[in-house]
Amino acid sequence: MKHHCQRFSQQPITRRAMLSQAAVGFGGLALAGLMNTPAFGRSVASKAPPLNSGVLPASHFPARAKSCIFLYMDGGPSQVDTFDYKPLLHEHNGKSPYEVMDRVEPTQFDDIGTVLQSPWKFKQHGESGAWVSDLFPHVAECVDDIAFIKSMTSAFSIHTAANYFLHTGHGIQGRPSMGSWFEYGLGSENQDLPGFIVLNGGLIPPGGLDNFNAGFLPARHQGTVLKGGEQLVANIAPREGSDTAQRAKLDLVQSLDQALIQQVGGADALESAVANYETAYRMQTAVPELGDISGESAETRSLYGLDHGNEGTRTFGRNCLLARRLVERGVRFIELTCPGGAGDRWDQHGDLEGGHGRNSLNVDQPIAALLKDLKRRGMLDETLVVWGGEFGRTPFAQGGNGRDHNPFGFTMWMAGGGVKGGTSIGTTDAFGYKVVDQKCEIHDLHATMLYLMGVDHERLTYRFSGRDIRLTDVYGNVLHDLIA
Amino acid sequence: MALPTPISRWLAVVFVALAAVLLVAAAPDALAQGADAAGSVAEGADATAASDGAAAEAKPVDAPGWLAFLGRFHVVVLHLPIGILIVAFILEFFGMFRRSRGYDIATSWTLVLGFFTAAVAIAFGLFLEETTKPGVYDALTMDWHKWLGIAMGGLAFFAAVLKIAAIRKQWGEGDQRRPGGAPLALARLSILGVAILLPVVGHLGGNMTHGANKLVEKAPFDVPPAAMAAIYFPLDAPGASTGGGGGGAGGETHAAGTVEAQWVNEVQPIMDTHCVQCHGASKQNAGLRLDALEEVMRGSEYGPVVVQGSAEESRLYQVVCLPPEDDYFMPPGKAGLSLEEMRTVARWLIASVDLGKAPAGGTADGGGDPETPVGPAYDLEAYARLNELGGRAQVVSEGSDLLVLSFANHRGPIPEEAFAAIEALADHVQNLDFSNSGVTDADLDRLPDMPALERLYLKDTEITDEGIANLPELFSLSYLNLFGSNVTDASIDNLSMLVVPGKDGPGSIYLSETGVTLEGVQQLRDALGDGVEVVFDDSVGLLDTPGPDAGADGPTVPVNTVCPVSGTAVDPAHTVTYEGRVIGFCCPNCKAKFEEDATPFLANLPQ
Repeated sequence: MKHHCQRFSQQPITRRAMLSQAAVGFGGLALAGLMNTPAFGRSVASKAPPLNSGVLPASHFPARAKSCIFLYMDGGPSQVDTFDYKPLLHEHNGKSPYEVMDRVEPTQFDDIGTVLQSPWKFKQHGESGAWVSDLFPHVAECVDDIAFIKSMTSAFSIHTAANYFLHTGHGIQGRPSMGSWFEYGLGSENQDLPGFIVLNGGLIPPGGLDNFNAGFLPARHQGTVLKGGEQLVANIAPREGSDTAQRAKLDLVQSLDQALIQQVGGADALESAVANYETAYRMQTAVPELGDISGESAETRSLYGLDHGNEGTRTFGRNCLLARRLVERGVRFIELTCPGGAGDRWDQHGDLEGGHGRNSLNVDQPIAALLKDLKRRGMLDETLVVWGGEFGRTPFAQGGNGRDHNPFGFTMWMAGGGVKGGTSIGTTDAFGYKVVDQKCEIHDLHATMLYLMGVDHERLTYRFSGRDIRLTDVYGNVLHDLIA
Repeated sequence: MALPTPISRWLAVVFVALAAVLLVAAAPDALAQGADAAGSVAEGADATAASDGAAAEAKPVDAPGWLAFLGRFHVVVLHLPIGILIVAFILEFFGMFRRSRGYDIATSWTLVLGFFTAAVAIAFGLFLEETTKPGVYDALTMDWHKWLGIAMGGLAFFAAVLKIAAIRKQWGEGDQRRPGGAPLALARLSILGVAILLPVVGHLGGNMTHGANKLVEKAPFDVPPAAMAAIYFPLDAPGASTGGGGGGAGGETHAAGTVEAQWVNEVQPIMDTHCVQCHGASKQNAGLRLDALEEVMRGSEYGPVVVQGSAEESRLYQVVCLPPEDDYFMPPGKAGLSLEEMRTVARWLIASVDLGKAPAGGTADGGGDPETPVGPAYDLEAYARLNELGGRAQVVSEGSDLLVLSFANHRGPIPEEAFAAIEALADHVQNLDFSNSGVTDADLDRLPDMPALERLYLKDTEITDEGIANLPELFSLSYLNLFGSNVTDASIDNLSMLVVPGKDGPGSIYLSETGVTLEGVQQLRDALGDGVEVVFDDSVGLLDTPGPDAGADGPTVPVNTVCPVSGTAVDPAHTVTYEGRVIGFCCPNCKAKFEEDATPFLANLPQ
């Protein structure tokens, strides 16, 4: 078929398909047939009917959580100023870290100053008596629902690589984001919305949208970024005069796409495009309905801080409220990014007090509201809430009043969905610098999150470049101490 | 053994059709017109059965509709062939010694009628079997009853055909004497066979519905064991032969020291004395048998009666501890278990957590399900149908037969067929989610008993107190979400009986944004105790929050022990901080009065 535009030639066959067909031909076909039999290790189709469009016919374990909300603290909040209380910093404030600490690692900016005490006071809260600084007065009220991981480590101390590592389990660009893995495995309970949604507070993390990429997984599992504010998706209102007209147009596009799919065989790019057109069509109704919070009571709005004087609180509060609404609608994985606005991300190389203060003001009340609201609605025990950044910060100053990146020990926390509230695992040294007990890796975090969602991280795989690849690669241990 | 559904259905059709054909063939001219009508009735039955076939094949158990409906008439219809065939036997017997040809005509007619009614009874009986859950009737008795019944029907058919053939042959040839010869001898043999089988089949049927004991339990003399065995025939299950509680010295042997052995030696005798009469081989009230360990573990039609490792949670123990006047007290109308017997049962239930575990070196059987089912145990058709009806069904996890059913966010009414699907899956439902759906109070009345149901979501629905009252008994419910529904304090009593502690944690009820008041919540909390958490705005810190910092530290123990307003004891739940001191009250009302104006009460406080 010649196109009217002579320079456009249809791609008759993909490069990969060409190579594989030319190289193995009929022998390859026979082998493929063989490999599809149970004797060659292919899993026998389970008797259970498939689970909501996900690849797993049934979850591996009974799921403790149906949905996951990842409160992504972009930039790396300081553990010693939030949840990891270290009184020794106060005692040694102003001293050289080389004198009081065992071994000081080089940092990103290598501008190591003196030991820096936390400008915030710590208090014990709840029945569990967890220490929380004054940065998080609202979250402090929820500590009995929270399990802290105080011994988190990362393999990278620069934002981009650490962000990829946190999101995809790899420090390099191009791997599937954890949200994509969740949706790939478990599907979504809502066919009108994407199963992996990013609620953009304003700050897209270093590394960009590749943090939410589907990588080698089918493209339809890619995270869908919703803008904050009133209109969640640009151009969501159809431009066509009637639904019939739009439907006719989409049907035509789909028939053309289907013809091409027939011609080249199941190409992911095409199939996902078709799927995405259909999801987008349904989102025209689902998204405005999602964003319409007029039905929420005044108490709920003020709980989330929608009437707060600080714009960042309003933004993040609205996104937390939307996250809850998304969970109610069966969306599998929701990630919230931090509000932009005047301040920087949680990346205070200078002015720790001002920058962390602004960031916590943005998120503290909304996060506590989210936890409380989920709880009173009976949703917290089936919703996994994860809080944390890509790394922590040094207990000593960078220059005068900031802190540099620290991947050797930092705090993350989980709440809800099967998590044992009021617990804490792992410890850092007396300065909150490096992990000394129960070291946890990002892979452990991923394995635990998957476990709580009913998935065995060793059995959720995708064959890519000749290997069955997992979110946790060849690592990862479920943190059973955190699980109720 | 149970017949495969299509065969059973065909058998029924064949019997009815045979009966109709026979009626038509045997009808004298005078009755020919009426016989046509009978034929068309039979055809009608045939057509009904066939059209039912397609739909009903999918759900062999508990299918509503014509089969189940007609099946229940088995016990009505069966009296007809019993009476008629006995009359046929008597007529034939006395006819042997008389000259009148009237006897031949009368016997052939009663035989035809007897066979026709027997065929209908057999057909209905097969329907009944097909539409009854396995386990409700003793399987062995049912088999004998069924096959002997069919054999008897067959004999009646032969008798009728032979008798009529003999008459037609002889009288057709102009010989006006009474018939005789080989066909008649065979016919008489068949009639004798019918007369012998009839009471046996009838007795077996009686055993199934009333229990074997019922027949002679009022006997003013001791029934000899041999007679008792005959009455029980053909039941050969354990408890049956022990009758009055001789202890199970049956064929099963268990390694000493196992939980199985403990059952046989200590608990089974108690069961035999108090329970087996109604929950044994001969009679299975509520589908429950307590005459062997495997049976006990299988539970009743309402769910398991043993929660391994816990006496308090086991239905088996709960019902014997109830006060005798309670509706659920077991055994009803009897003295009940002695204290020591109750303790024995409780001890075993606690030990039952080790069921199936062998003591060192030994092997133990029992406890587990003897049959390993192939494929899921739940109704796949219903499962698929639910997904078509706008709901979602999925297994809890791989290899599990428990299901999560969801109609969450399903606006508009829940389709009628969905409830049939839910009913077909009832035993397997662990989670049932109607969050933000159009579910109504009347819908909740349609829900079947779901013995495995742990979580029920009615969040953001229009459910009212009536809906709560409509809920079936749900013995395992440990999570009930009523957030945003229209329930009020009127449901507190019902709610206090609905939710139980979970398997590995407290149960929970969610009541925020409903018509329930804080007083109602507190009343419910008092009724439920620590095992079930009532989540309301106050328990997540959304009521009376004194600001982020205040609650964290500072004393919360009141300085007074006597309420300054009422003079009664202080409830530490109601406090207020006044001039730096924590003051306690007996109730929220007194607290409100104090907050309005503290001065009149200050003198009542300790200095």
